[in-house]
Amino acid sequence: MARLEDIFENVSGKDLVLLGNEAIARGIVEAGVAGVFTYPGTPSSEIPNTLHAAQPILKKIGYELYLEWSTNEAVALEAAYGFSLLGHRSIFVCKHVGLNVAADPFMTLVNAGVIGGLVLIVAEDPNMHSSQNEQDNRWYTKISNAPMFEPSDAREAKSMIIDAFRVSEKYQVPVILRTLTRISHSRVDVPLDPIIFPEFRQTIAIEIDPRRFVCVPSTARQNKQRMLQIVKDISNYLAESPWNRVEMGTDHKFAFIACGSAYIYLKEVLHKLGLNYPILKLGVSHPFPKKKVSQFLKQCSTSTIVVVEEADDVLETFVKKLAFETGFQNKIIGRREGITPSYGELTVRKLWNGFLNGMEITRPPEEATQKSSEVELIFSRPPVLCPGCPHRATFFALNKAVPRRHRLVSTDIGCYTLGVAPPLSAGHVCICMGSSLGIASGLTHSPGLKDPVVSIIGDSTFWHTGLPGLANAVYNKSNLMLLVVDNSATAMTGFQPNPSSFVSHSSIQSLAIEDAVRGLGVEFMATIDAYNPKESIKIMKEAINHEGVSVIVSKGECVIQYNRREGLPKDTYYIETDRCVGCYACVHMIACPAIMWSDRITTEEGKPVPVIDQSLCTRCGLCKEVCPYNVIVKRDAEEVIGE
Amino acid sequence: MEYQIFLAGVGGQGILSVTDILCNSALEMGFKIRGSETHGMSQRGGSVFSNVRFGEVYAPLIMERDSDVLLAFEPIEALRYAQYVKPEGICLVNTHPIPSPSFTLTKSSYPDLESIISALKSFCSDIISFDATQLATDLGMPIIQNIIMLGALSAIPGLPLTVDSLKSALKKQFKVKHFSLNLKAFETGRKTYQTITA
Repeated sequence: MARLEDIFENVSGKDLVLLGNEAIARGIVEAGVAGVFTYPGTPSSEIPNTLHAAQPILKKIGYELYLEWSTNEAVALEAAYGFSLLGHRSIFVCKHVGLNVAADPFMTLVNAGVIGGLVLIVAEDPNMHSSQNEQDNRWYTKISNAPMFEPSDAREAKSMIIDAFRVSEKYQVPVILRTLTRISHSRVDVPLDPIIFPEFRQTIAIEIDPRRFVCVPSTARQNKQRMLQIVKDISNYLAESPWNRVEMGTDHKFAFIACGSAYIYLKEVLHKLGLNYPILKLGVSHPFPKKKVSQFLKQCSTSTIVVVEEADDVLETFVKKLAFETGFQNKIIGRREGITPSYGELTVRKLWNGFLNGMEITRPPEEATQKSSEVELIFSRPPVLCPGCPHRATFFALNKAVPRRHRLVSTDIGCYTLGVAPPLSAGHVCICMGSSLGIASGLTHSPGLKDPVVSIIGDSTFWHTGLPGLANAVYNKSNLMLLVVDNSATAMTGFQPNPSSFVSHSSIQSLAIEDAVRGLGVEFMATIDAYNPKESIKIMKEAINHEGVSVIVSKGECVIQYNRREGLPKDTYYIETDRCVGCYACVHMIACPAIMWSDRITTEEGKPVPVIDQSLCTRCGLCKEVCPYNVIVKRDAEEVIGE
Repeated sequence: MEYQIFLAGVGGQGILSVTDILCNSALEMGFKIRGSETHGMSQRGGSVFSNVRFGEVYAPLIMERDSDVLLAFEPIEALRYAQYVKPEGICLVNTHPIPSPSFTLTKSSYPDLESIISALKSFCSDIISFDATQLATDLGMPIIQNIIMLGALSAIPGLPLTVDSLKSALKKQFKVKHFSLNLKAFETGRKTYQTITA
């Protein structure tokens, strides 16, 4: 990743290689944005991360940026809206499912409109690299009428931001910028454009007209009409947008319509095949550019039209509708013909193979007869809880206190979701952020359930959408044990702060999970030290027998965050292999990645012996607690590594 | 012209640092650059890859059987992504194994290196393999195996990135005080490649 000093250098014209999200972060300051509001989520997180880390640099050049780690996407969007109402350019950043959380304010504020520009950067994750679903957020434009910019790569994403603000301000509507994993996590060479410094105009509250912004029915009816008019106006304005352009071709058997990321795959395949067909490239996909598309259909009336897009067949649906309305006679092919896949990521090969369904072209180079990833020798390497992770210790205690065979566990979204893998097996169900409590509550009210119900939630998710679920469980007298696994970090997405995380700067108020739990009237609440399993087991046993809602806050700071700040502890742990009897409790109960089989030593009976890889061990000592024969001992790290 | 490098390994092995260096070297040489990489969930301990493409390229991902080089930091990861290298391409492998907890649990031992290399050969015949982690440990810092691998890559005939541009990108990548050690690692890798192929 590029150096922050380079990304935010106050120059233009210079080329840098940037991660897509770094390019977007640069684009945000090139658009003079004054406020950024976000809840982290892959693949969007590096946008606010980069800006957050760059704040001192921006300050030095006189750029004042307010960056807020909001507690969830709904409040983030509302806060961004508040900022916009006083005339400031504001940005809202989230992953695709974040827009679901923010959908309620979103659907109405689109109609009421904005004052300062408001751009929503929403990052989708086709193929679900780090997500619970695959969701094409272009449908949101169809139900809300919000305009959408669809960059094909990170260079375009950067340049589109300032234009998105122009549209937002000219028509007083929020605008969505759609990115996705292969844009946000791509590398591109990007030219830097000038930084624009935000203007803080003096505003007065009275400018916010309640006849527009208080959305009671009479206002809402006016706003809906306002919105419909704006859609028409924007359509006319965007008919000439340089983001929607035709590339002429020399051959006319086919003509392509492509939007967003699909455009670059199309370019690559045509380049590899040495083909040259006309392309209508759409960068602003909503409002649907009717005029441009119908002109193109007219120009290419003898060609077969091929629609290329990633995720759902949104563009194709609207192109076909328009073709029907305008009496276009030729064939239009796309999803149904298998040009593009209906799920997963688009790739060069998938598109090339797709073209074989309608075009007579050279086949792509043959794939290997067997995929190398399926060769028998290969073992899977799924993401796992890190060595020393406090969640491992908490789940070990949970397994001792509440046997796995006699419990239902409703878990949530975060690093701790990885605890569902054996041997920890801490989770039967996980749907979305904050779902653990609602689902657990429902389980407890099912007649006939004898097994205890456990809900697991992390600190950041607790503040995100855990609070309403907990209030509901207390109010409805659900009989469940909530385990708040508080690692003082939003670790999975890259250590963003949250209300109760380790706070290194004093300007932010730190909140206590325990205070919130007490405030909600929970009768049984205890705080445990994740790394003290003996005590944890005792308290969990009490909690599970408590009638009603019991809450245990298991505290253990994320080991990566802790070690980055404090360094590794001086003492490490060591298996005295000559005394090891080969019971394998350490392997079978906690599955720490730092514990592996020795390739040299065996027990007296010739059984393999586990050893601790000191290059991976973070010295948490959980294995020492687990070993029933006390053959894992604490020793000075330098001595152990020296051996 | 287009040139493609597929990097594969395990989270935490410094694959993204090498990606940075390759991209900055390509930028210095005036190439258009496109690439993509793993972030997020598989960050630690998971299987990770990164694609670097430069020249006349558009898409961020390398197509199967199309990469000029597979630069693998771990033998099983080399095999996992071997389908991406051209049959006539080059596969550079750090032979130092990194097991995974999933197989520690099932108690099998790490597959033997010879079988891995022979499986690799069905995807790409030109395989250069050595224990870069051991070489890095000899230099006093096991984690700089990634720079040793970069050095080996620099010796590949036909690589459009010059040694000078790679070194200048390497210099910018890390703290000044680490440069001499990194340079040593780079040269070690380069020499190792030359010795093996001599």
